[in-house]
Amino acid sequence: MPEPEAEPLQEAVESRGNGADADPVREILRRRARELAKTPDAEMGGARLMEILEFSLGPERYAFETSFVREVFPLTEITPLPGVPPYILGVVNVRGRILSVMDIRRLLDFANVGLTNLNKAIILHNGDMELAVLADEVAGVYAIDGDEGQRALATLSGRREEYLKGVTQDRVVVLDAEKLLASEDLLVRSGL
Amino acid sequence: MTEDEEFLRDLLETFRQDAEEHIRALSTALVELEAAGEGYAAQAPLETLFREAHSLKGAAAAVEYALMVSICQNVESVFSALKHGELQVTSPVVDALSECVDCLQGCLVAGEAPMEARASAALERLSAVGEPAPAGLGPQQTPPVAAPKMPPNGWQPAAPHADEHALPIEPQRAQPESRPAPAATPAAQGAPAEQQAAPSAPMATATDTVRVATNKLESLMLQAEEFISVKLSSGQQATALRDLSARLDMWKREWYQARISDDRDKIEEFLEWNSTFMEGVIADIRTLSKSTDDERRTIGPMVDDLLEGMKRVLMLPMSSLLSTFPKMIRDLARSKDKQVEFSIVGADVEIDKRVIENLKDPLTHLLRNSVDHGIETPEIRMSRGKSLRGLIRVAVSQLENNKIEICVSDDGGGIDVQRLRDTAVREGYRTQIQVDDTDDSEALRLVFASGLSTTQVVSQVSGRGLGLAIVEEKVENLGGSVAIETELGKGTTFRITIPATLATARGVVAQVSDWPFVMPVVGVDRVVRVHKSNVRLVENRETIQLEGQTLPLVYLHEVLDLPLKPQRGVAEYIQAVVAGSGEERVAFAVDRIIDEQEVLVKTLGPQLARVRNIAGGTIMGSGKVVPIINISDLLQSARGGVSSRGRDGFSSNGGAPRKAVLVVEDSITSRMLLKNVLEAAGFYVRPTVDGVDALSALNEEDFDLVISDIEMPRMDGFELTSKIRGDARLSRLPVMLVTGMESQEHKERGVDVGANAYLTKSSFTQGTLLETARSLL
Repeated sequence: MPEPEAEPLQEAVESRGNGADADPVREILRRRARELAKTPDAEMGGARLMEILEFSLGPERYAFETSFVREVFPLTEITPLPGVPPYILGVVNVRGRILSVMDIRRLLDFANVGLTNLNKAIILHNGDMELAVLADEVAGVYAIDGDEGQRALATLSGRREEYLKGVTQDRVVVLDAEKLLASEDLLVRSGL
Repeated sequence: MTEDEEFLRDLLETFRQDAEEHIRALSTALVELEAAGEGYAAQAPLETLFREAHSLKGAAAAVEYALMVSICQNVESVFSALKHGELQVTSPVVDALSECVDCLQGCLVAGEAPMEARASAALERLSAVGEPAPAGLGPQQTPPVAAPKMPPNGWQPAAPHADEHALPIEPQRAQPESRPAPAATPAAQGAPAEQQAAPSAPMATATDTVRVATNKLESLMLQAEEFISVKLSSGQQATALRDLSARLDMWKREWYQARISDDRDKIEEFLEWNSTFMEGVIADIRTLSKSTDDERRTIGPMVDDLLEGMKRVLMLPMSSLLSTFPKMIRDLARSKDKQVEFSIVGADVEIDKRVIENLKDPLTHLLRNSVDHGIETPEIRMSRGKSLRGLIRVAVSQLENNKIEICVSDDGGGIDVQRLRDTAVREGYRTQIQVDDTDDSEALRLVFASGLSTTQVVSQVSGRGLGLAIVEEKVENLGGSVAIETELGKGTTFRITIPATLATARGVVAQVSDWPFVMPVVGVDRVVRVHKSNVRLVENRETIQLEGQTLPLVYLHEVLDLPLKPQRGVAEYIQAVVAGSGEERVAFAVDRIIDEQEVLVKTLGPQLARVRNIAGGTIMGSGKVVPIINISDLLQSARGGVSSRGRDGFSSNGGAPRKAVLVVEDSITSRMLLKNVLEAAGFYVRPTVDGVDALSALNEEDFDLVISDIEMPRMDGFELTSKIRGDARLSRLPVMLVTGMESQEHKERGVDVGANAYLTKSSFTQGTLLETARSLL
């Protein structure tokens, strides 16, 4: 999809207040109108929507794309394991199967701000990998503009940048479940 | 299908099962015989060979497999000659016998008709090598020239494919040595009727059956029989409930009568009756409830045991598959003029039957490859300074995470990676640039590419390059993987890792630092209780004496890096699990041995592919996941020298006693977070779930600090704090409240009840927590 929305309309509007002439604004508006008037081509298929599941963890709000969410599981007991990275909280019994539970905040170094109260695990999966991610409360499932979910935060670096898909207008941090699941980095293979 | 046909089919099926076992035993014993050579050592395999051939002959005669009878009879006489020392165990003899056994197998799979020619040749060869067989060996003393000429068996060449269908159930021709086929195996009787196969290969498409050791079945039968008592008692309960319901119907009638009656006496009479009646009913309900409860308790383990028993029936030892290989390798090596020694390790490892079945093809391919391409000819081996005899080894072992590893290794020529690259380019699998970019291990994966082979001459055995592609595919279908290691001139190892999905293990359940875990019995030598005075320092390491041997005593919490639970009371005895074997034994001190039980080994989920010291997990009756220790890791970790670290409640830095913190928090995640943060900072932490739980912990142990949530079930943080302040022993214990309640009012109330610090969850950070905690200590 082209990027008409990325035009610096805001800047243009602001710069008018600074005495610049109005033409750039008109120009941008005209261009936008042209973009909007276009019939969406096949590739676009209209607005590209992304369905996400929003959850809270401490004071923060996060979301995963629902296509990678298998279920939300109530946590009653976690068995901690010695010798695993700190972002792995332990393992749980999900109907007879054992799954690891990750604390996303520790992984992304958002750790240690706020304690959590409600105990849920969001089970993520793709074909090969399955893991649980700690959550406080699931706020709900809704669709957002796909590009919105893609919008990156310029200030992020390292792991945060790697596993973050973007931030919605409501400032919900959309995490990249696909990358989390596929990451070799998060696979625990501790030998001696 | 007529009854006769059905009978015939059952008979054939039984025979096939039986014959297969005899043939397998013959193959194994034949290899043993050759290895044993002459003399005393050869007696045992010879005895087996003789017996098996004889039994097979009897069974074959019963279903009129005349060619098989004839072959058996001939090999039997050769065995007899060998046994009596009238014939020497030489390679040609074993070869000829081996070919005969193959013919027997062929008859079983393809039917007798297609095997005629080969069998004649084999018998001719046998008679040639067995020529010096002297008289007095029975009717076959004159070595047979060819099977069709064998008169005693009355064998006639059958029309192709006519044999199975035409097999008559008419009285058998006179066969002095024939005897009825052995009784049907239990499994064979369950063969479904639909399995009648196409006439061309009726024996090959056999019913899928399992041979089960009778003791396994007997114990299952006993377990099943126990369910009769459950059936009876549930019948009794149903009767009792029906009776109760009938009595309540009666009560309803009486009550109705009394209600519509104006007669006071009658009402009083009812009330009196009612009181006795109700007492009776209450007593009955109590009894019923108790007996239902008892039954539920009984039936739980019964169902579990039966389920476990059934699972075990489906587990077969690897030997059931591996036993067919020694002969295959021997024959193959002979045909290639190579000398091969074949060894198997871990044949008793049990794997799910379905997994074993799917391993047959890959293992056959790998072993054939090893003989054909791996092991060099004796000349080449000599020129390379190796022993003439090549070594092929299959090692089966149980890995952590419920996986089985099968290593097929040879000490042959190895794989020439460069040549593999060249072939890949020549055959158009890769471009020159592609192969130049790949490193050796990556290039080695090319052997799995379908159609690629470095062998110049496509041999009959293998080398078409398809084999390894099939190996990889089959193993991957089982959820496993194949790895290759090779060193040019030194040999090649294929490492197959597969899950043994239903593997169970017996384990010792023990506990250390409030952390329960299972130690697989396989690696445990024993469990000991040692008096403190018997622990001696040897070379600055703690040791204990066991049967005159000095064993290092290692504290499990140290190896696993778990925080130590301070033992304020002086424990007189140390409980320890002795792991490893022989000189390598190590005693691991634990807090408590809980139990020994059967556990179902599960993986820790796909993310935790391998965790040091942990082999997997099991789910206890309570639903709790309990980790299973990887003993070989543990032994290695223990040898890595842990004695340098602190113990006895002293942390390594400065030797100051570790401070104990009681965490009271009903939310599991908060509890874990607090625990992790505090433990990382060097505190001992005991987590509890509410005020009531915390108070009992305070009675059991001494603490230096309490960190508590406010909103909790049963007893909240305010109440807990005032209880602590009200207790003479605890009154000076610092209390920190951590809560989501942020109002000033709450803060004041917290101070009122005697809390020393008040932390809100929203502002909670690791730093503030530790800072506040330290300021209070």
